[in-house]
Amino acid sequence: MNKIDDILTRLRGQQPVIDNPDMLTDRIMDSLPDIGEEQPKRKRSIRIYAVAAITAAAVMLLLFALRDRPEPPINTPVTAQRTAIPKDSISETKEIPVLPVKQETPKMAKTVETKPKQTARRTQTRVVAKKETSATDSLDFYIDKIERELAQVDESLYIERMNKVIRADERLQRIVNSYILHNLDKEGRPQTADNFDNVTPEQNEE
Amino acid sequence: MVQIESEILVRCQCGDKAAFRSVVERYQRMVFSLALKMLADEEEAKDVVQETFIRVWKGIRSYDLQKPFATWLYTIASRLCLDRLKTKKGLVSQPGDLAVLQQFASDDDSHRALENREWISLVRMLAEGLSEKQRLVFTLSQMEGLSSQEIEQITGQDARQLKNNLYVARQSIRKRLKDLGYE
Repeated sequence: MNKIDDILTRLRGQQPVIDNPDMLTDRIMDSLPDIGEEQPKRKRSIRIYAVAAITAAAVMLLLFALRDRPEPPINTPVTAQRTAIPKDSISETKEIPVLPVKQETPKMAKTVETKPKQTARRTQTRVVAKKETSATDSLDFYIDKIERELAQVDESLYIERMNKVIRADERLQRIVNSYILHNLDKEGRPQTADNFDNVTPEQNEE
Repeated sequence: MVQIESEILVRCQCGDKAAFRSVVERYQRMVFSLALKMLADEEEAKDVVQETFIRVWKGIRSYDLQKPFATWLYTIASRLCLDRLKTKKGLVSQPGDLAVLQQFASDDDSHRALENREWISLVRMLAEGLSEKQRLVFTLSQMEGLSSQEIEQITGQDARQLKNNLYVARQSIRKRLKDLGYE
Protein backbone atom coordinates (compact mmCIF):
# COMPACT_ATOMS: atom_id res chain seq x y z
CA MET A 1 0.00 0.00 0.00
CA ASN A 2 1.42 3.31 -0.96
CA LYS A 3 1.64 6.19 1.37
CA ILE A 4 -1.39 7.98 -0.02
CA ASP A 5 -3.65 5.00 0.47
CA ASP A 6 -2.24 4.59 3.95
CA ILE A 7 -3.08 8.16 4.84
CA LEU A 8 -6.59 7.86 3.50
CA THR A 9 -7.18 4.51 5.15
CA ARG A 10 -6.09 5.80 8.51
CA LEU A 11 -8.40 8.75 8.20
CA ARG A 12 -11.34 6.59 7.32
CA GLY A 13 -13.56 5.62 10.21
CA GLN A 14 -11.91 7.96 12.68
CA GLN A 15 -14.24 10.42 14.19
CA PRO A 16 -13.27 13.65 15.91
CA VAL A 17 -14.04 13.87 19.60
CA ILE A 18 -16.40 16.42 21.11
CA ASP A 19 -14.62 18.21 23.91
CA ASN A 20 -17.55 18.23 26.26
CA PRO A 21 -20.30 16.03 24.85
CA ASP A 22 -22.66 16.44 27.81
CA MET A 23 -22.54 20.18 27.44
CA LEU A 24 -23.38 19.94 23.76
CA THR A 25 -26.22 17.54 24.54
CA ASP A 26 -27.63 19.89 27.15
CA ARG A 27 -27.34 22.76 24.73
CA ILE A 28 -29.23 20.79 22.12
CA MET A 29 -31.94 19.67 24.50
CA ASP A 30 -32.44 23.18 25.87
CA SER A 31 -32.97 24.54 22.39
CA LEU A 32 -35.60 22.01 21.39
CA PRO A 33 -39.04 23.52 20.89
CA ASP A 34 -42.01 21.91 22.50
CA ILE A 35 -43.74 19.95 19.78
CA GLY A 36 -47.05 20.32 21.61
CA GLU A 37 -46.77 24.14 21.49
CA GLU A 38 -46.32 24.28 17.74
CA GLN A 39 -49.52 22.51 16.84
CA PRO A 40 -51.97 25.01 18.35
CA LYS A 41 -50.19 27.81 16.50
CA ARG A 42 -50.41 25.81 13.30
CA LYS A 43 -54.07 25.05 13.97
CA ARG A 44 -54.72 28.67 14.77
CA SER A 45 -53.02 29.83 11.63
CA ILE A 46 -54.99 27.28 9.64
CA ARG A 47 -58.18 28.58 11.23
CA ILE A 48 -57.26 32.13 10.38
CA TYR A 49 -56.53 31.20 6.79
CA ALA A 50 -59.79 29.28 6.56
CA VAL A 51 -61.81 32.19 7.94
CA ALA A 52 -60.06 34.61 5.60
CA ALA A 53 -60.73 32.36 2.62
CA ILE A 54 -64.39 31.96 3.53
CA THR A 55 -64.79 35.69 4.04
CA ALA A 56 -63.15 36.46 0.73
CA ALA A 57 -65.37 33.93 -1.01
CA ALA A 58 -68.48 35.42 0.59
CA VAL A 59 -67.49 38.92 -0.48
CA MET A 60 -66.84 37.75 -4.02
CA LEU A 61 -70.21 36.01 -4.16
CA LEU A 62 -71.91 39.13 -2.86
CA LEU A 63 -70.21 41.27 -5.47
CA PHE A 64 -71.18 38.93 -8.25
CA ALA A 65 -74.75 38.79 -7.00
CA LEU A 66 -75.01 42.56 -6.89
CA ARG A 67 -73.46 42.90 -10.27
CA ASP A 68 -75.76 40.37 -11.86
CA ARG A 69 -78.90 41.77 -10.30
CA PRO A 70 -81.06 43.17 -13.08
CA GLU A 71 -81.49 46.90 -12.87
CA PRO A 72 -84.99 48.22 -12.53
CA PRO A 73 -86.38 49.54 -15.76
CA ILE A 74 -85.83 53.20 -16.49
CA ASN A 75 -88.75 55.22 -17.74
CA THR A 76 -87.95 56.73 -21.05
CA PRO A 77 -88.01 60.46 -20.77
CA VAL A 78 -90.78 62.20 -22.64
CA THR A 79 -90.07 65.66 -23.71
CA ALA A 80 -92.57 68.04 -22.24
CA GLN A 81 -94.29 70.05 -24.85
CA ARG A 82 -94.79 73.67 -24.16
CA THR A 83 -98.13 75.17 -24.71
CA ALA A 84 -99.10 78.73 -24.90
CA ILE A 85 -100.06 80.18 -21.60
CA PRO A 86 -101.58 83.55 -21.01
CA LYS A 87 -99.05 86.04 -19.82
CA ASP A 88 -100.99 87.27 -16.87
CA SER A 89 -101.37 83.82 -15.52
CA ILE A 90 -97.72 83.50 -14.98
CA SER A 91 -96.83 84.17 -11.47
CA GLU A 92 -94.13 86.64 -10.68
CA THR A 93 -93.24 85.02 -7.54
CA LYS A 94 -89.93 83.43 -7.23
CA GLU A 95 -90.88 80.78 -4.86
CA ILE A 96 -89.20 77.52 -5.13
CA PRO A 97 -91.17 75.28 -7.45
CA VAL A 98 -92.58 71.98 -6.49
CA LEU A 99 -90.08 70.11 -8.55
CA PRO A 100 -87.16 69.20 -6.40
CA VAL A 101 -84.37 69.17 -8.89
CA LYS A 102 -81.89 67.45 -6.74
CA GLN A 103 -78.32 66.62 -7.41
CA GLU A 104 -78.25 63.57 -5.24
CA THR A 105 -80.19 60.41 -4.61
CA PRO A 106 -81.08 58.89 -7.84
CA LYS A 107 -84.50 57.44 -7.41
CA MET A 108 -86.84 55.72 -9.71
CA ALA A 109 -90.40 56.57 -8.91
CA LYS A 110 -93.28 54.31 -9.27
CA THR A 111 -96.47 56.23 -9.22
CA VAL A 112 -99.58 54.85 -7.69
CA GLU A 113 -102.92 56.37 -8.40
CA THR A 114 -105.09 56.55 -5.39
CA LYS A 115 -108.12 58.41 -6.79
CA PRO A 116 -109.95 58.85 -10.04
CA LYS A 117 -108.76 61.11 -12.75
CA GLN A 118 -110.85 64.18 -11.92
CA THR A 119 -109.45 64.90 -8.53
CA ALA A 120 -105.98 66.13 -8.00
CA ARG A 121 -104.11 64.21 -5.51
CA ARG A 122 -100.63 63.99 -4.48
CA THR A 123 -99.36 60.81 -5.89
CA GLN A 124 -97.56 58.55 -3.66
CA THR A 125 -94.38 57.34 -4.92
CA ARG A 126 -92.34 54.48 -3.92
CA VAL A 127 -88.74 54.97 -4.43
CA VAL A 128 -86.42 52.26 -5.44
CA ALA A 129 -82.82 52.89 -4.85
CA LYS A 130 -80.70 53.00 -7.93
CA LYS A 131 -77.04 52.61 -7.96
CA GLU A 132 -75.69 55.38 -10.12
CA THR A 133 -77.78 58.18 -11.54
CA SER A 134 -77.18 61.78 -12.26
CA ALA A 135 -79.12 65.02 -11.91
CA THR A 136 -80.47 64.64 -15.44
CA ASP A 137 -81.80 61.19 -14.57
CA SER A 138 -83.65 62.70 -11.66
CA LEU A 139 -84.94 65.43 -13.94
CA ASP A 140 -86.25 62.95 -16.42
CA PHE A 141 -88.04 61.19 -13.69
CA TYR A 142 -89.73 64.35 -12.46
CA ILE A 143 -90.70 65.41 -15.92
CA ASP A 144 -92.38 62.07 -16.34
CA LYS A 145 -94.13 62.56 -13.11
CA ILE A 146 -95.34 66.01 -14.03
CA GLU A 147 -96.72 64.78 -17.30
CA ARG A 148 -98.63 62.07 -15.57
CA GLU A 149 -100.01 64.43 -12.98
CA LEU A 150 -100.98 67.02 -15.52
CA ALA A 151 -102.96 64.45 -17.38
CA GLN A 152 -105.01 63.81 -14.31
CA VAL A 153 -105.81 67.22 -12.93
CA ASP A 154 -108.59 69.62 -13.88
CA GLU A 155 -107.97 72.81 -15.70
CA SER A 156 -107.43 75.12 -12.74
CA LEU A 157 -104.87 72.94 -11.21
CA TYR A 158 -103.38 72.36 -14.58
CA ILE A 159 -102.68 76.04 -15.04
CA GLU A 160 -101.16 76.30 -11.61
CA ARG A 161 -98.95 73.35 -12.21
CA MET A 162 -97.88 74.67 -15.55
CA ASN A 163 -96.81 77.94 -13.99
CA LYS A 164 -94.59 76.02 -11.72
CA VAL A 165 -93.24 74.09 -14.62
CA ILE A 166 -92.41 77.28 -16.41
CA ARG A 167 -90.58 78.64 -13.41
CA ALA A 168 -88.63 75.42 -13.15
CA ASP A 169 -87.89 75.66 -16.80
CA GLU A 170 -86.45 79.11 -16.27
CA ARG A 171 -84.10 77.75 -13.71
CA LEU A 172 -83.07 75.02 -16.02
CA GLN A 173 -82.46 77.47 -18.78
CA ARG A 174 -80.23 79.47 -16.49
CA ILE A 175 -78.22 76.34 -15.80
CA VAL A 176 -77.89 75.63 -19.50
CA ASN A 177 -76.99 79.23 -20.25
CA SER A 178 -74.23 79.32 -17.72
CA TYR A 179 -72.84 76.14 -19.18
CA ILE A 180 -72.89 77.60 -22.64
CA LEU A 181 -71.33 80.81 -21.43
CA HIS A 182 -68.59 78.87 -19.80
CA ASN A 183 -67.80 77.06 -22.98
CA LEU A 184 -67.92 80.23 -24.99
CA ASP A 185 -65.52 81.91 -22.65
CA LYS A 186 -63.17 79.05 -23.03
CA GLU A 187 -63.30 79.27 -26.78
CA GLY A 188 -63.00 83.03 -26.80
CA ARG A 189 -66.01 83.63 -28.90
CA PRO A 190 -68.20 86.67 -28.55
CA GLN A 191 -70.91 86.19 -26.05
CA THR A 192 -74.17 85.49 -27.70
CA ALA A 193 -75.83 83.84 -24.78
CA ASP A 194 -78.77 86.16 -24.89
CA ASN A 195 -79.99 84.46 -28.00
CA PHE A 196 -80.41 81.27 -26.08
CA ASP A 197 -82.58 82.71 -23.41
CA ASN A 198 -85.90 82.15 -25.00
CA VAL A 199 -88.02 81.90 -21.94
CA THR A 200 -88.96 85.41 -21.21
CA PRO A 201 -92.43 86.70 -20.66
CA GLU A 202 -92.02 89.07 -23.55
CA GLN A 203 -91.33 86.33 -25.95
CA ASN A 204 -94.23 84.15 -24.99
CA GLU A 205 -97.00 84.27 -27.45
CA GLU A 206 -100.23 85.49 -26.29
CA MET B 1 -24.15 2.73 10.19
CA VAL B 2 -25.56 1.84 13.55
CA GLN B 3 -29.32 2.10 13.63
CA ILE B 4 -31.24 3.03 16.66
CA GLU B 5 -34.11 0.96 17.94
CA SER B 6 -37.43 2.00 16.45
CA GLU B 7 -39.07 1.86 19.84
CA ILE B 8 -37.02 4.83 20.98
CA LEU B 9 -37.97 6.71 17.83
CA VAL B 10 -41.65 5.96 18.43
CA ARG B 11 -41.34 7.46 21.88
CA CYS B 12 -39.66 10.47 20.37
CA GLN B 13 -42.58 10.85 18.00
CA CYS B 14 -44.86 10.94 21.03
CA GLY B 15 -42.88 13.91 22.34
CA ASP B 16 -40.69 12.02 24.78
CA LYS B 17 -37.68 14.29 25.24
CA ALA B 18 -35.88 11.81 27.44
CA ALA B 19 -35.97 9.32 24.59
CA PHE B 20 -34.75 11.98 22.22
CA ARG B 21 -31.87 12.79 24.54
CA SER B 22 -30.67 9.25 24.15
CA VAL B 23 -30.82 9.70 20.39
CA VAL B 24 -28.77 12.88 20.64
CA GLU B 25 -26.16 11.24 22.85
CA ARG B 26 -25.86 8.35 20.42
CA TYR B 27 -25.58 10.33 17.19
CA GLN B 28 -24.12 13.72 18.01
CA ARG B 29 -20.52 12.61 17.53
CA MET B 30 -21.37 11.18 14.10
CA VAL B 31 -22.90 14.47 13.02
CA PHE B 32 -20.05 16.45 14.56
CA SER B 33 -17.53 14.36 12.64
CA LEU B 34 -19.17 15.10 9.32
CA ALA B 35 -19.59 18.79 10.13
CA LEU B 36 -16.02 19.27 11.30
CA LYS B 37 -14.61 17.59 8.20
CA MET B 38 -16.78 19.67 5.98
CA LEU B 39 -16.44 23.04 7.64
CA ALA B 40 -12.98 22.80 9.26
CA ASP B 41 -14.24 24.83 12.19
CA GLU B 42 -15.11 23.38 15.57
CA GLU B 43 -17.66 25.93 16.70
CA GLU B 44 -19.43 25.90 13.40
CA ALA B 45 -19.53 22.15 13.51
CA LYS B 46 -21.24 22.28 16.92
CA ASP B 47 -23.76 24.75 15.56
CA VAL B 48 -24.55 22.35 12.76
CA VAL B 49 -25.00 19.53 15.23
CA GLN B 50 -27.43 21.59 17.26
CA GLU B 51 -29.37 22.73 14.21
CA THR B 52 -29.50 19.19 12.86
CA PHE B 53 -31.11 17.80 15.95
CA ILE B 54 -33.53 20.66 16.24
CA ARG B 55 -34.72 19.91 12.75
CA VAL B 56 -34.89 16.23 13.50
CA TRP B 57 -37.00 16.92 16.56
CA LYS B 58 -39.35 19.17 14.64
CA GLY B 59 -39.78 16.61 11.89
CA ILE B 60 -39.73 13.49 13.98
CA ARG B 61 -43.48 12.96 13.79
CA SER B 62 -43.43 12.78 10.03
CA TYR B 63 -40.37 10.59 9.92
CA ASP B 64 -40.88 7.20 8.30
CA LEU B 65 -39.73 4.59 10.77
CA GLN B 66 -39.01 2.17 7.95
CA LYS B 67 -36.16 4.29 6.65
CA PRO B 68 -32.70 4.31 8.23
CA PHE B 69 -32.52 7.02 10.84
CA ALA B 70 -28.81 7.71 10.40
CA THR B 71 -29.31 8.34 6.70
CA TRP B 72 -31.94 10.94 7.51
CA LEU B 73 -29.59 12.50 10.05
CA TYR B 74 -26.71 12.63 7.56
CA THR B 75 -28.99 14.15 4.95
CA ILE B 76 -30.00 17.02 7.19
CA ALA B 77 -26.46 17.61 8.41
CA SER B 78 -25.05 17.52 4.86
CA ARG B 79 -27.49 20.13 3.65
CA LEU B 80 -26.74 22.38 6.57
CA CYS B 81 -23.03 22.06 5.88
CA LEU B 82 -23.49 22.85 2.20
CA ASP B 83 -25.57 25.89 3.09
CA ARG B 84 -22.84 27.18 5.33
CA LEU B 85 -20.14 26.52 2.77
CA LYS B 86 -21.98 28.69 0.28
CA THR B 87 -21.41 31.69 2.50
CA LYS B 88 -17.82 30.85 3.30
CA LYS B 89 -14.72 31.29 1.28
CA GLY B 90 -13.09 28.17 -0.06
CA LEU B 91 -10.83 26.24 2.26
CA VAL B 92 -7.29 27.47 2.21
CA SER B 93 -4.51 25.67 3.99
CA GLN B 94 -2.63 27.52 6.69
CA PRO B 95 1.12 27.54 7.26
CA GLY B 96 1.00 24.99 10.07
CA ASP B 97 -1.21 22.51 8.25
CA LEU B 98 1.58 20.86 6.28
CA ALA B 99 3.44 20.07 9.47
CA VAL B 100 0.38 18.37 10.87
CA LEU B 101 0.04 16.27 7.75
CA GLN B 102 3.66 15.28 7.86
CA GLN B 103 3.38 14.36 11.50
CA PHE B 104 0.31 12.28 10.82
CA ALA B 105 1.85 10.54 7.83
CA SER B 106 4.97 9.62 9.72
CA ASP B 107 3.20 8.57 12.88
CA ASP B 108 3.69 4.89 13.56
CA ASP B 109 0.77 4.70 15.95
CA SER B 110 -2.11 4.36 13.50
CA HIS B 111 -4.68 4.14 16.28
CA ARG B 112 -3.87 7.46 17.87
CA ALA B 113 -6.90 9.65 17.94
CA LEU B 114 -6.42 12.95 16.25
CA GLU B 115 -7.17 16.13 18.04
CA ASN B 116 -9.73 18.40 16.52
CA ARG B 117 -7.18 20.99 15.53
CA GLU B 118 -5.27 18.28 13.68
CA TRP B 119 -8.42 17.24 11.90
CA ILE B 120 -8.94 20.77 10.78
CA SER B 121 -5.43 21.06 9.43
CA LEU B 122 -5.70 17.79 7.55
CA VAL B 123 -9.05 18.74 6.07
CA ARG B 124 -7.65 22.06 4.89
CA MET B 125 -4.68 20.34 3.30
CA LEU B 126 -6.65 17.63 1.56
CA ALA B 127 -9.83 19.46 0.55
CA GLU B 128 -8.24 22.60 -0.83
CA GLY B 129 -9.46 23.11 -4.36
CA LEU B 130 -12.46 20.77 -4.14
CA SER B 131 -15.99 21.92 -4.77
CA GLU B 132 -18.56 21.58 -2.00
CA LYS B 133 -20.18 18.57 -3.59
CA GLN B 134 -16.87 16.88 -4.25
CA ARG B 135 -15.82 17.51 -0.70
CA LEU B 136 -19.09 16.10 0.60
CA VAL B 137 -18.94 12.86 -1.35
CA PHE B 138 -15.26 12.42 -0.50
CA THR B 139 -15.94 13.00 3.19
CA LEU B 140 -18.90 10.65 3.28
CA SER B 141 -17.07 7.99 1.30
CA GLN B 142 -13.42 8.18 2.25
CA MET B 143 -13.65 9.60 5.74
CA GLU B 144 -17.00 8.46 7.06
CA GLY B 145 -16.86 5.10 5.32
CA LEU B 146 -20.39 5.16 3.90
CA SER B 147 -21.48 3.00 0.99
CA SER B 148 -22.31 4.38 -2.42
CA GLN B 149 -25.98 3.57 -1.95
CA GLU B 150 -26.10 5.45 1.34
CA ILE B 151 -24.27 8.42 -0.19
CA GLU B 152 -26.74 8.49 -3.08
CA GLN B 153 -29.63 8.68 -0.62
CA ILE B 154 -27.94 11.37 1.44
CA THR B 155 -26.76 13.62 -1.36
CA GLY B 156 -29.52 12.96 -3.85
CA GLN B 157 -26.93 12.40 -6.57
CA ASP B 158 -27.41 9.49 -8.91
CA ALA B 159 -24.77 6.81 -9.31
CA ARG B 160 -23.15 8.49 -12.30
CA GLN B 161 -22.87 11.88 -10.63
CA LEU B 162 -21.60 10.33 -7.45
CA LYS B 163 -18.99 8.33 -9.28
CA ASN B 164 -17.77 11.38 -11.17
CA ASN B 165 -17.56 13.60 -8.12
CA LEU B 166 -15.78 10.94 -6.14
CA TYR B 167 -13.33 10.25 -8.92
CA VAL B 168 -12.45 13.91 -9.30
CA ALA B 169 -12.09 14.34 -5.54
CA ARG B 170 -9.81 11.34 -5.18
CA GLN B 171 -7.68 12.36 -8.12
CA SER B 172 -7.35 15.87 -6.75
CA ILE B 173 -6.31 14.72 -3.29
CA ARG B 174 -3.92 12.17 -4.63
CA LYS B 175 -2.26 14.77 -6.79
CA ARG B 176 -2.02 17.11 -3.87
CA LEU B 177 -0.39 14.50 -1.67
CA LYS B 178 1.90 13.55 -4.48
CA ASP B 179 2.91 17.18 -4.85
CA LEU B 180 3.74 17.16 -1.15
CA GLY B 181 6.07 14.29 -1.63
CA TYR B 182 3.87 11.35 -0.83
CA GLU B 183 3.54 8.46 -3.23
